[in-house]
Amino acid sequence: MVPPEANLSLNARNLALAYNSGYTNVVCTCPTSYANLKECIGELNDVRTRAAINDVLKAVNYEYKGGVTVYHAAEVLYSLKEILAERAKFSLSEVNIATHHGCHYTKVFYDEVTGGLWEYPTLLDEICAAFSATLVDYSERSSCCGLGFSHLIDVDEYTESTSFRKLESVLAEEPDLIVTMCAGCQLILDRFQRQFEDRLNRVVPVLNVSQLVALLLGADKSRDACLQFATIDVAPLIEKMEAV
Amino acid sequence: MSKFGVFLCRCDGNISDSIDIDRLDKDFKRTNVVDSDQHLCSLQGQQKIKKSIRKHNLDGVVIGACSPNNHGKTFRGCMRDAGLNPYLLEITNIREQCSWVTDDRKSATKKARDLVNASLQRLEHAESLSDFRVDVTNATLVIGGGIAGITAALALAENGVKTYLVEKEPSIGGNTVRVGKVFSPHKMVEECAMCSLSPLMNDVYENHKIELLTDAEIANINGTAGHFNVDVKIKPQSVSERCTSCGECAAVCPIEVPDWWNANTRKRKAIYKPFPQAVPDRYTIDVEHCVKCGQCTKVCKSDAIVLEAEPSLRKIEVGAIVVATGHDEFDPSLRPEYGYGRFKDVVTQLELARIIGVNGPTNGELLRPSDGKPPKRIVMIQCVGSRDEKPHGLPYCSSVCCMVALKHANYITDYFPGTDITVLYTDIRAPGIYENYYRHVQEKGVKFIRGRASDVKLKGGKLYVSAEDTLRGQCLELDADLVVLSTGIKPSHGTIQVGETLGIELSDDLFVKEKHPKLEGASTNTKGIYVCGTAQGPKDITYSVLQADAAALEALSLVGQDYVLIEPLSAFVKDSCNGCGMCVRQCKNNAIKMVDRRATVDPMLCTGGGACVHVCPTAALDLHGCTEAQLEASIRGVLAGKSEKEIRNIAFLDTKIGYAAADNIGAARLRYPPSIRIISVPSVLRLAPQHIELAFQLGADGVFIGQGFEAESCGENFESVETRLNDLSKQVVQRGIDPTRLKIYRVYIPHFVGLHKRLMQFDDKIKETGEIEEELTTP
Repeated sequence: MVPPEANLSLNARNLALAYNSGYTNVVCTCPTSYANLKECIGELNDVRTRAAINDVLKAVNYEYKGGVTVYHAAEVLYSLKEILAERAKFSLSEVNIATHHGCHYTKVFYDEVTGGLWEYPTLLDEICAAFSATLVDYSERSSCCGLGFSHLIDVDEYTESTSFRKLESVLAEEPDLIVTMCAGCQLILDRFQRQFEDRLNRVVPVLNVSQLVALLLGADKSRDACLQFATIDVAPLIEKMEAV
Repeated sequence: MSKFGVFLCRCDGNISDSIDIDRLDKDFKRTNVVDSDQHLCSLQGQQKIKKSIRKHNLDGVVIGACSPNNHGKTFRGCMRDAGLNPYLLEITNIREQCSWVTDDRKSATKKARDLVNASLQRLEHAESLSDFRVDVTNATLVIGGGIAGITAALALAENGVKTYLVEKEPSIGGNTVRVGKVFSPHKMVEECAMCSLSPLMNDVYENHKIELLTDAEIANINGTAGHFNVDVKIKPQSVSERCTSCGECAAVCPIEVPDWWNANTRKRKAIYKPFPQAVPDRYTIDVEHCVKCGQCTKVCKSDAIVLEAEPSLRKIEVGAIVVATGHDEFDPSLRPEYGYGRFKDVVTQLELARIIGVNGPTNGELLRPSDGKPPKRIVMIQCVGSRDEKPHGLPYCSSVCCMVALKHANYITDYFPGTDITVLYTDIRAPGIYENYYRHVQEKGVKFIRGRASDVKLKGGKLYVSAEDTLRGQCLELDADLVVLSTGIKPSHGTIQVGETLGIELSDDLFVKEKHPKLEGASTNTKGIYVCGTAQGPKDITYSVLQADAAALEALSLVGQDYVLIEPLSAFVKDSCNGCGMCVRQCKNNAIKMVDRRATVDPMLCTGGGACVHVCPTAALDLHGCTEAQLEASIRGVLAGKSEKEIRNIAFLDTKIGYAAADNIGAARLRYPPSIRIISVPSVLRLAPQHIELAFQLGADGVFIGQGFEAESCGENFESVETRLNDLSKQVVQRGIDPTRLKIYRVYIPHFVGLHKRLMQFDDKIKETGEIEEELTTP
């Protein structure tokens, strides 16, 4: 959709900006951005590609010199999970959670997955477990949420059938919450529950792991955690979170 | 001044038709004792040489005859018989490299004269050497007591050799004990593994030539082929030989741990007997888990238990070692998509073997672990961890898993009729007559679907396997009561550990690397150490046993000798060594060690390639048989007497392959011009930039380096030899040599025509370019 040169130039510029600002660790909340930036860094490690892209960047007076790392926000939370759990205002000890990690985090840089292995990542599970949550397994755990990027636009049928299969399998395990690490996955899993309302006999809230950790640390529900944007009501979950 | 003898062979016209032997006779007589014969290799010819050596009290001998590869040994014998050191002999190849390849008699005679002169020059620098003698210890060590180690130990002991069999577990038997059944392609039925193994294990116990050391591991080793000193570490022996195997101790033991011998499908106690047929036939204490409560000591009527036993160290001496340290299973939890560890009814083939084994957890009944009910539908997933290039995967085929799946499918169809079995495979590998077995299993109704499973799911309490049928292009979801994973074979922890302790080379996949994949499949790259079974690579019992016998035969042929004589053509260290250790790092044979801050060469391990010589910054290393002085003399010799317009190209060929290929060129009577002069070197790694530079300084017009493929090159593989040759070439070019005058070529013996063609092309090219300009300063 985007020519590789444009993708590389744009991200080389962004990475150069990060480098020049002195904040050389880029953290993404979007797994697709995470994967794309990592891909770009890999491509830009090639001397000839880097020279060609830097030629483009000359027009805007930037130069990409490397020296920038890329992580997903969930990886940062994962590395701090014990410290965060100590500071938590709430506990998940009464909450059953199903996790969904997202394909663009686990399947692109599969050998760099933090927590578990790429076919069965446990990154989100371990973060939730640090706050005493009970994790539930479900049969479509490693399936796509249904978004599938261009599929959403081109092939409604794919998105719907994949999402339905996914949600049906999660809901069968009766969790109190689905935790994701991807805005796209969250959107699909949240919104489609309403769409399938007549076929699913219950609903469950969906939160991004950053939102969940914010709530646990005592952040404001609407101003900080933006729960008002959720399609499925989060209130029953909030009730289950016990103050510590 | 030294008095040398020159003996020229006419070879019944093979030499004398092209070379004027009488003329050479006359030329060399001025300064040397000369004689010639129709057949120097005949008894009469040999007599002539011996008489002459004694009569003239010669200091050295040059024999101008055929290739040293033909009669080198014969002529060295003459030297010895006549009381002259055999290393004071130079053989000039005036047949394969002169009379058979040169067109006109005049050029051939001139070339022969030059070559003999070169040999005389080299002889000036020859040294008397004596062979190294190592007294052979007539005993062997077999490491690993699985089917391969047992077979090797029995073969050695039955040939009268004292054999130590070291096993890390409390009983011998290894994985064969656990597999239960073995496949038999002739009868299309499965046979009892223990029924074949148990008698062999008893033979081991009863054979007085075998000393069995169980609970034991190799702690340290030193020495060389013929004589190794080995330290064996033995775990505390808490149960003595007084044990009657009554089992009362285990009944009262409060500790329960997973039982490895049953692939962890059942529990055992901390005091236990591995399996009923265990050898040695007694109980043992797992010191890791024992809490020393003392319950067992109270009930033991034989007073056989000593809870406070100490580990011990046993020192043994052997002449040869057989490594049979086996394999481990790929850990299926590294492929979490298959749910092993998450779902009770996902098991490995080895666990299934225990389940259907009559001595297993269900006494042979096919019952699944979750609820103890018989499974109606079984799905087997092949290549779990094998042929897998993802992280932690084994890129190779584990070679037996297809047959193991077929074995279990066939057995289950026979004994538990009505069980539906589907095998998801990548490719079925049932080589040779195993194909019959495959067909037999197909005909019995076992289903085969070509496609790798993507995952195993639990839905509504039932397992489902997702896969793609790649032949039909369909995605499938198969329900299953039991999922069986055919996990790959990886080198055992013991194999990697022993490899490190013994200093033997491992393959990229960390199996023990065989010396030659076709010809020396049971030898390692270290003399005196042999390998068999799955320690060397994935294989079935049949091939493990065959290889074990081959390894035993190799070991026997070594320890059967009183002593081994080692040609002294090894590297040696001079006083100027400053102990920097560069050579130690260079030597891939581990032949150089630092002793008292000085490099010391173990002549038994040195393969005499000479790669170490020029890494020494103080020139303290040299190589017997091809010293710096000898090599320089050869270079000077073949270039001596070069006239102004004459072209001379030196071809350095490695003795084993390059030189032998050149002999084949002669034998095929292919022609090449006398401008090509061959110098034999033990390995091309012996060559340093200064040798090439010297050749050009002394008037060489071109230098050709021919390295034999698979030739012994100081333990380096061909890729690293090639890298080093490229480095050499770069360094030579940096010294100002025209790169077009240097050619490196890879020689294959069967393709000697290729070597001939390259030599001719090189010679033609140099002749076109004309004689090299004298642009280099003399050293």
